[in-house]
Amino acid sequence: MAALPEPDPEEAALLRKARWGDHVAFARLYQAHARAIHALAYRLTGNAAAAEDITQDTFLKMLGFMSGLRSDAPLRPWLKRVAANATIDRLRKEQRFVSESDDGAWPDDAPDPAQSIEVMGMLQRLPPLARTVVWLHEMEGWSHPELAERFGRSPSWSKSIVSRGLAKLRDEIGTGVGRAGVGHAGVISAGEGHAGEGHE
Amino acid sequence: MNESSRVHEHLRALPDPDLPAVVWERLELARRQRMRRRKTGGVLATLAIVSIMAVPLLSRMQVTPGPDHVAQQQVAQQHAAQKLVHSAPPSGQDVHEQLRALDHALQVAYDRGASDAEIAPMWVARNELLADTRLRQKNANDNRT
Repeated sequence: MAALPEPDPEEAALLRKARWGDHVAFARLYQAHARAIHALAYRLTGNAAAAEDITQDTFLKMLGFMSGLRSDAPLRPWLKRVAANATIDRLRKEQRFVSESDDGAWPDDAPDPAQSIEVMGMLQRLPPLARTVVWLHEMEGWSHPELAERFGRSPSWSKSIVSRGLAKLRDEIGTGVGRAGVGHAGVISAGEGHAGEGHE
Repeated sequence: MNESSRVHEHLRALPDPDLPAVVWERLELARRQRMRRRKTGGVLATLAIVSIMAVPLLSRMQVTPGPDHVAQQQVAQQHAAQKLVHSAPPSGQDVHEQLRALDHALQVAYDRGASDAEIAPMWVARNELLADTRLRQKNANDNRT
C-alpha cells in the first residue's frame, strides 16, 4: 500500500473522546473523512445510492469498533479499507463481478460522445471488477498481492486486470473522449493534438 | 509524460462527488437506535446480575420478629455461627468471580449513563457481598484462635 500519512495529534484526541462517547468528537471525525470515503465508494460502485449506503455503513462500523482503533494511527486509511471491502462484498453480492475472461465484460462499442467527455464516464464504462481493481491499485495504492488476496486470485491476475483496464482508459483518453469538457478539472498536456481539432 | 501518468493524472483530477446531508442523518438515526438497544440490553443484564447477587444476600438479612426477639436473635445467631463454622465457606475464587461480575455490571452501567436508581442496588449488593465475606473470614479466624 502507499506510505501512511503521519498520525494527527488532533485527530488522535478526537478519537479518544469519541471512544468515550463524545458525539461532537465523532461528528468532527465524520466531517473530516466522510467526503473522501463517499468519493471512494462512488468511484468503485459508480452508483450514488450505493456510495451513500457504503459511507453510512463504514462509519457505523467505526462506531462499533471504536475501542479497537489505535489513537496513534491515521484514521482515513482504516476507513478507506473498510469502505473498499464493503464495496467489494456488495458488488460480489450483486454478482456484478463477471469473469474477466468473459469478452462481454470488456465491451468494444464506442462510448456515447455525449457521455464520454468526462473521465468519470470513462471510469464507469469499465467493468465493475476492472474499475475496482484499477482504482484500488492506481489511486489507493493496493499492491497486486493485496488485491490478489482480497479477490482470492493470483497477483498475475491482478496485474492482468489492471493492465487491461489502464489500456482501455488510455485508449479513451487517446481518442479524445477524455478531453476536458466545460467545468472538468482534467489535466491535458499542451502539445497533444487530439480530438476536437478537426477531428469528427 | 508517459501514458500511465496521463491516465493517473486524469483519475486524480476527478472531482469528488457531493456528499448528501442525508448520509449523516441516517447515520445519526442508526447510532441512536443502536444506543437504545444497548441501553435496554444493559438494563436487563444489570437487573439479572443484581437479582442473582442480591437474593442470597437479602435472604440472610431477614429477621423473624417475636415477643422474645432478642433471645430468638441470639439463638439464631448461634445456629448461624455453627452452620458457618461447619459448612464449607465459599471459596475465595467464588467471591472474586462474583465481585468481578458486579464490578463489570457497574462499569457498563456508568459507561451508558445509567441512573442512580439503577446503580444503587448494585452497590448495595457489592457492599453486602464484601461485608458477608469479611464476617465469614472473621468468624473463621475467631474459631481458629
